[in-house]
Amino acid sequence: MPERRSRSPGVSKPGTCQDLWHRRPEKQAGPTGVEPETLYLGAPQSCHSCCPEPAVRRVPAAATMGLELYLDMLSQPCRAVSIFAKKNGIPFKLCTTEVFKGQHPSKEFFQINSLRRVPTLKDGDFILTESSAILIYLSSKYQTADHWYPSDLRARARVHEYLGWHADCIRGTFGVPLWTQVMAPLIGVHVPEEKVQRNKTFMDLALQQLEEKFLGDRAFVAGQQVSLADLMALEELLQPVAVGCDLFEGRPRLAAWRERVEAFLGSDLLQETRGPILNILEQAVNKKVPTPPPEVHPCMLLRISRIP
Amino acid sequence: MKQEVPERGVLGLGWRRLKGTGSGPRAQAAYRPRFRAWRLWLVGVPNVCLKMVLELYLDLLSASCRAVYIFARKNSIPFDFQFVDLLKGHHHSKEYIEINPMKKLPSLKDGKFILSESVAILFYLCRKYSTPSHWYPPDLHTRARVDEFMAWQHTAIQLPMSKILWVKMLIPMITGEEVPAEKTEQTLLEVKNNMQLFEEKFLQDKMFITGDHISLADLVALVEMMQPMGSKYNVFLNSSRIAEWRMRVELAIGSGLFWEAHDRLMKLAEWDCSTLDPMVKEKICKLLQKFR
Repeated sequence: MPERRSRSPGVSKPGTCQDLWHRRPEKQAGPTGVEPETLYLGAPQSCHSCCPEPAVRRVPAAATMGLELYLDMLSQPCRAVSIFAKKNGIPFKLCTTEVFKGQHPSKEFFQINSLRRVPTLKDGDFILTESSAILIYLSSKYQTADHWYPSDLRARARVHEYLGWHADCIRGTFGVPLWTQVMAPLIGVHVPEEKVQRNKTFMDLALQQLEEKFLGDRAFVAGQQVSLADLMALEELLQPVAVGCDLFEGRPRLAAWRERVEAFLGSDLLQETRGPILNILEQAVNKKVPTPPPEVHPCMLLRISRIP
Repeated sequence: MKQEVPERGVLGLGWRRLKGTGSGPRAQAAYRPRFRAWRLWLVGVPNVCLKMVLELYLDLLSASCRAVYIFARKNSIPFDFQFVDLLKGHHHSKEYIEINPMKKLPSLKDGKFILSESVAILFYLCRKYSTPSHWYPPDLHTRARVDEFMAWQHTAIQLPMSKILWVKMLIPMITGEEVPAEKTEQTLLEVKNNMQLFEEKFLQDKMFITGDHISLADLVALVEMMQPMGSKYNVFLNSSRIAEWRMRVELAIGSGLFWEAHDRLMKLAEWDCSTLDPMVKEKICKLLQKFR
């Protein structure tokens, strides 16, 4: 197991800097012989007299005010970010943004995020969207265990390879069943059966590629250990499962992978994060899902029109 | 007596026919290897090196391929250009499927290591060849901005820009059918909105996306936005800020390299689509359902 770095200033090795923001460059090269990179927060400058190596300068006071994550647990990328932060003990303030209750396109949120998207990260004055960018940022800043975002050149390339394919073939496809079965009926829209069937075909093709190309005979999607790629993939695949599509039936390799990842993450954490999405279908059947306010209808209709 | 000539010489380098005859030991062998054994190490090294040269499987019609090509050329990364002709369906060939079973471009082959996805390839090349840090800055926040753009551009820039090329030119050319005006208008509006978002969120009033220097984000953004030029549609006309940024990126790359990479795209209108493989045409028609 890679050694976990301590973040608290009081628990440091003798002779090392007590500054919380000091980051020592890693000198060990990985198996490919390429040295891992050093990231800096601000330009590298010399630190205190106790530090022989250049270190980061202290971050401005505003940045130590605490991390805020704007999340909607019905959204797959939001769940991935939430699970990652909690699993790694990253302290953050959860700002629940319930998109379809009209909280999303509010003025306050717009000031935070001009793209009006969730998840959004706010770290002092720094604002970041896109779940994969947020996950990489958190793993680098809080120096999480190496397997999440490996420092080895080729192992990291595999994570990026998955994330690129995920953006093209998984995103926009696995979210469709929730829209067709729950969200569209809420605003009185019926998605044609032809589109539903086409979506099933696209999902089948994507799952086949996921199993054969990415999983193969490996334990996890980008290697032999859990990484950001597995987290992103799992939460996306859960979306249709939550509305009754059993994607894992007849796919024992994929089902075994799911069990491995969920065993690693822990059932308590998953249950806590997945509560809203796992209850949505039952709520929809019992007509307990609140009707979205009129101001969100245009963006909902736009999303529905994009279903191929 | 003529000595039998072996089929292949030392390391496949052939044999040298000796001139003249005589009775000495040299004459007894009418052929001898081109190089003496002690020079084999000199010969062996380049042979081994040749097999380890990076291979990039590309067709410059694809924006993702252009990004990888321009980056590798700009940073003098030695590579073998393996042309996989999309228009002739070579990405469906058995040889290419062994490289990338998903039949997509670009692909990278570095010895036994094969990698797909242009963003992954760009990050890999950056780090392996220690390219200047402005391409993928080490500062946490700046790097996060590049990562954010790379994630956003898949659906916000790449897909709609490529859609314009299909809708305005390739679909009518290949299938003979015109796309309904409503769909075309929808696509153009989406592109216009996303270009506006790009300007407000990523470019703002900076020289480049990350500040004063070009990065991978600018390269990827520009090659994607050039895609509609294949159908003679110029997305840079709507905003002077974006037009100026476009010029800056082109100059930072080098106009020669930039236009060399875009030559095949700019000549797409002259392509004779009757040479398109029928199997590929059928696959394209199925793919078109996504756009209709």
